[in-house]
Amino acid sequence: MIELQILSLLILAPLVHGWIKRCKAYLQGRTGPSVLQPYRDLRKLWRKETVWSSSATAISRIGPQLAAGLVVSAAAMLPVADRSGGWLAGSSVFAFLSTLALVRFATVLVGLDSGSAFAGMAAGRDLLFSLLIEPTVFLALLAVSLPGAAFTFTGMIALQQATGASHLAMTVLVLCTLVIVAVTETGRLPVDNPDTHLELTMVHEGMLLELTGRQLAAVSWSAQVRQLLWFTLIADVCLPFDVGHNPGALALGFGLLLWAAKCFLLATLVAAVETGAAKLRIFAVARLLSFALTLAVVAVLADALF
Amino acid sequence: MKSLHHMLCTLSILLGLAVIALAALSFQPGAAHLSFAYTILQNSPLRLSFALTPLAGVFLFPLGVLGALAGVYAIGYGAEYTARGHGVWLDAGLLSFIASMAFVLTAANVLTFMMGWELMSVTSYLLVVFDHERQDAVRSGLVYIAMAQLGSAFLLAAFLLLYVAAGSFSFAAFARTAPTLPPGEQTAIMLLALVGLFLKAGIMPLHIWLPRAHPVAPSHVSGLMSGVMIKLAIYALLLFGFTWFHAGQAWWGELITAAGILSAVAGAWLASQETRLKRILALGSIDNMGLITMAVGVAMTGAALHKPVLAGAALSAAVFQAYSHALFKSTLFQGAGAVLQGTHTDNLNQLGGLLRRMPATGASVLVALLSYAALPLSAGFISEWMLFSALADAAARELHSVAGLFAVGALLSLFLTTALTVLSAARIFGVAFLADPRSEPAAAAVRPPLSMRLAMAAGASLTVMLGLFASGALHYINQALRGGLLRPPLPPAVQAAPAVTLTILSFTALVFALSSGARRTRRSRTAATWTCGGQRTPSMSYSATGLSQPAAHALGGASPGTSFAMRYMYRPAWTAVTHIARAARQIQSGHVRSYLVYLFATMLALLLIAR
Repeated sequence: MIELQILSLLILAPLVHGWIKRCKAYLQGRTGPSVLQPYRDLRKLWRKETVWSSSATAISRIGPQLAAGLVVSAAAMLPVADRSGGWLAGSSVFAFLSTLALVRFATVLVGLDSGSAFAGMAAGRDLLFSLLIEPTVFLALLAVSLPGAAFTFTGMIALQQATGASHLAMTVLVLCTLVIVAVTETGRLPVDNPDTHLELTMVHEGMLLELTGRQLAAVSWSAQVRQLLWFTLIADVCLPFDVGHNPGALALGFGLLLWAAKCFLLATLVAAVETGAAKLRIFAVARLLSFALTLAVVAVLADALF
Repeated sequence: MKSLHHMLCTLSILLGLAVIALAALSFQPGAAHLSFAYTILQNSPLRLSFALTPLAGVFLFPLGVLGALAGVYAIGYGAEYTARGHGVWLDAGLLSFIASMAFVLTAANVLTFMMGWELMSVTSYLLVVFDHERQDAVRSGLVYIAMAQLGSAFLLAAFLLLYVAAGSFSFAAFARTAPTLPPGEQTAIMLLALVGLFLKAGIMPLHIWLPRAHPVAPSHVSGLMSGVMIKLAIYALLLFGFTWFHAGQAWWGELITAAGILSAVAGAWLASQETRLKRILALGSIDNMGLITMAVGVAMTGAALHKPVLAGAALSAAVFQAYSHALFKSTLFQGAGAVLQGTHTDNLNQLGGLLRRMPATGASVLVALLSYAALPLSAGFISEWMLFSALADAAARELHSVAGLFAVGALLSLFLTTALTVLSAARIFGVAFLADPRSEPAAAAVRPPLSMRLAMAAGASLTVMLGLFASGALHYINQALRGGLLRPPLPPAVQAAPAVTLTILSFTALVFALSSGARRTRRSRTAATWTCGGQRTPSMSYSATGLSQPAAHALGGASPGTSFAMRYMYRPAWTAVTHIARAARQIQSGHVRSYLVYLFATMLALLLIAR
């Protein structure tokens, strides 16, 4: 039933994005756009004409589609409500995170392809964050998987379901780490401001400035899927209730509902953080991420010591 | 002149193919008996002796492939030198460089090995200083040959100690005697060998020659040096560590792991801050050698603790990483050579827009860069995935011991390194090949001749093939490594990787099909990149320096830089050498009679001692 999981992930991603916007608007005392607005935006972009930058090469034509194909593949690697894993059951954490790293690489190259200074600025910042993010995520997931030598998501979920309660301290540390990572990777406050195109805050948006039409739609959608993937990852690793092994139709439906509930809960949390937090200076973000890295190191040490 | 150039290049290609055949032969069951000896002087140890072992075959294979590719590349690359009248020497140098490396790999006694080793150092030195009208080439060459000689001295000392114990110079005798030596003597030999081999491998802090020498050599020679020559140090490390000493004591492996961790992170960091393309690639070699070395270290610790599966997994990951590094690095160096010849600069900040001027080079470089950054669809991805699995397994099995701590450290450095190489790869491709030319020569870049494009395309496609047929390649590697100490498994990475590659490719194709279909309403036009309404100039695009500036600003103080080694190792050592030289000058009067007295005194002393 992995196809159903992938489809629900891909289809729900814009809705989660709309939900966060709506929550933020509510918290700020506005009405805000409909939760369906991201779908309408995507439809509009899909129909618009394409304007290529005069410096653009084949990279601008291939990159966005590659990014979209990659997030779909990443979605296939992450269990949602069924941890039997499908045809990518053997692919480990490494494959998943490398696939997301290739999304980043493709986006950076697409940005640099236009020769825009804003894209360069954004790419440099994004690559700085990645230097701290990647070791952090890897270590956090390593902390979860080390006690049972389970380095695939399916194994990790089974391990957490069996022994997660006895490793509560480690799980909490990992949860904190992954939330900071998710906030950074989804380009949200206090790291990046998704609502503006000011160069002071430009990280993710800067690289998309020269994209139009379907290319922009593909990259925007893949960013939304990436956001939901991070929420799903947190749900899988830290709150793995009701992720069954080969569940029946009813159990699968219930599992999917529960997964959606967990993701919307995380989305609401992100919206609340975003309303309460102020934007950090770029180099203060590095400090926040080093804090996350420290948490992850402590989580691994907690494994080794207990 | 030109026909001689072509003939020598053809010879290099043929030699490469012959080495591949030799590698294939060494995997045959009866290959162990294929040995050959030539006695130079009767009743003396002056004997050349050759043998084919599966372990050597593992390293002969990339040597043959890269040698043949370098031969193809040299046809076009050497044309400019031939036109200036001394290109034939470059071709001859390439030929003897390949031959000397094959010599090292087939050696079966100390004399043969050291002859090949020295020949390799000297030929590569001559190739480094080939552009001798350049001042920096001569200086870099001097540093290189000095460090290479220092390394040989340490290595020779280790060999001589082994000879004293075994009573023979042959490697077979070493394999019999070495494990029976007392632990103290074993450690002394191993430490001497480690210094000598780390000097050759460019492991920090013994690396300072590498970023000097590799960039100034002609590009296909740089590719061979980075791709194969420094790997021979790993081959010798495996000889010492596994074949002779049977992994020795656990802390040897931990020491090697620590050295590898330092090199991997520091090399990758320095590469991400450098702006000259060939220097970036050279520093990237330090980082990759670090990864390989740390995996060898984990394998040695595992073998010393009698965990053959764990050790085998780490070692086969190390060898696979060496393969993928050999292929992508030689392709990248060849790409850098094409850029250098087409624009006469390899400073990223002066390049730009090269993908439009030299599309074939750009495509090959991009494919190789995917491997460099260990991103999916590439061989580098599979090799680092294997490293990850092997190290993670080691960490999980030894979680509560010191060995596990080293494995976790190695994992952390692997993660840091992959992130840093993504930054480096984005800088190389994004700045040099995309956007607009930042200087006149870059705007007038000339595309390389067919032979060079062919060599690069072949290198890039071999990288892809290595990724696709990883399980086949690994079958041979594992077969060669299998022994009492090592039981390499077929790693999960290799089993799962084809599905990952296929999934990514098919979903991307699907998205393509969806987005290019239904063209009814599609219009497109071209417009200038937005510059807030101003006039756009190429210099508005981010430079390589600018791209890595945030990282430099945020993390700059944290890196163990070259300056540290320079300040606390090399400067004091150099001061000591000059002091001793100055002191020794006092007895150098220049009169013949005083030298006669010295000779007489020395002879007398020797007679008294060796009476």
